[in-house]
Amino acid sequence: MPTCPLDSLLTTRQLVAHSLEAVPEAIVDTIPPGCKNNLRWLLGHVIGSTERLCLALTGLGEVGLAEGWAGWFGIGTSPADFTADTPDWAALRAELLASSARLETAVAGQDLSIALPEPWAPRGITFASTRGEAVAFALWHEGLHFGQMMTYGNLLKA
Amino acid sequence: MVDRDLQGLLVARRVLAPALDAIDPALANRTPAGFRNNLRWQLGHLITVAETLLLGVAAGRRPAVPEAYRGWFANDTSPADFDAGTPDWPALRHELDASTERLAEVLRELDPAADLAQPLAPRPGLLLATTVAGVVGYALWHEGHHGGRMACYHRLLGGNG
Repeated sequence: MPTCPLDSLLTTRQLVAHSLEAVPEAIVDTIPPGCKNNLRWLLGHVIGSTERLCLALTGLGEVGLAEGWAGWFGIGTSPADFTADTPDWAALRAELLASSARLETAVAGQDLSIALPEPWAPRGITFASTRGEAVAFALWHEGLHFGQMMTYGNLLKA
Repeated sequence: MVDRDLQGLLVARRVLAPALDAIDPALANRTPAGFRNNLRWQLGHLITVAETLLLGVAAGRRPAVPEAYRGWFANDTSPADFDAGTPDWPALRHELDASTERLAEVLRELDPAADLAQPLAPRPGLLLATTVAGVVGYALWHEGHHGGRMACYHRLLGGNG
């Protein structure tokens, strides 16, 4: 019964989790020609970004991911930044589920109309000035990267 | 009632529009190897679905884009369904801005907590939304999804960004 952007985010993640089941693990580390990243990076990036936006930025919780996550999956990183400790595909898929549970626990039922301490405007565009807008941005950002993932999947399975 | 949570789509459009303007229109009709669609289809689809979800499903009105858009850009169509009347890339880019203005107006009027006349359930076992807020949220994700596909297509066609 989605009534706030968090519910939509958790609903669309069910679609995503279903799609990811069809992705062969053999392709997750391949960077398609002309592209910068691979499926493993995109999944890690989405998980990290959403936790940062919905928990840290809103003040509703702490990011519950491994130390080093931002160094592997943050903006401007790429699979070239992966180390022996970077989670593999199976670990990332498990983390997606665990992260959804953390988000639900921390955000569901909270007042999302509360203003952020300061508007979040990374590129001169105000992306969010309330908690709810931060969650809504995360929802769009997840769509963006899952769209890329599905495209990578089509391309690499072809 | 203005609910700021519903305004995310407008922020997304402010990111999308300049990204589209950076695309060489000559690439819009080229289907990347291994795919069914092209950038022109993706943009038409993005516009059509957002109008259908927000004006149609959420607000209970008729989408303002011409009915023919469904035949060119709905789910399971492809550029093979295009005809002489299908809008070209500049026309779609113009339509995007016009549509964003229509959506901004409707988003100001919607009550996020209102129940839908019918749940949004595109296929059995897939319940996407039962409320206006749920439709708006799904539309936002869908918007991102096709924006992401377009960014990939653009790269695969040799474009930057």
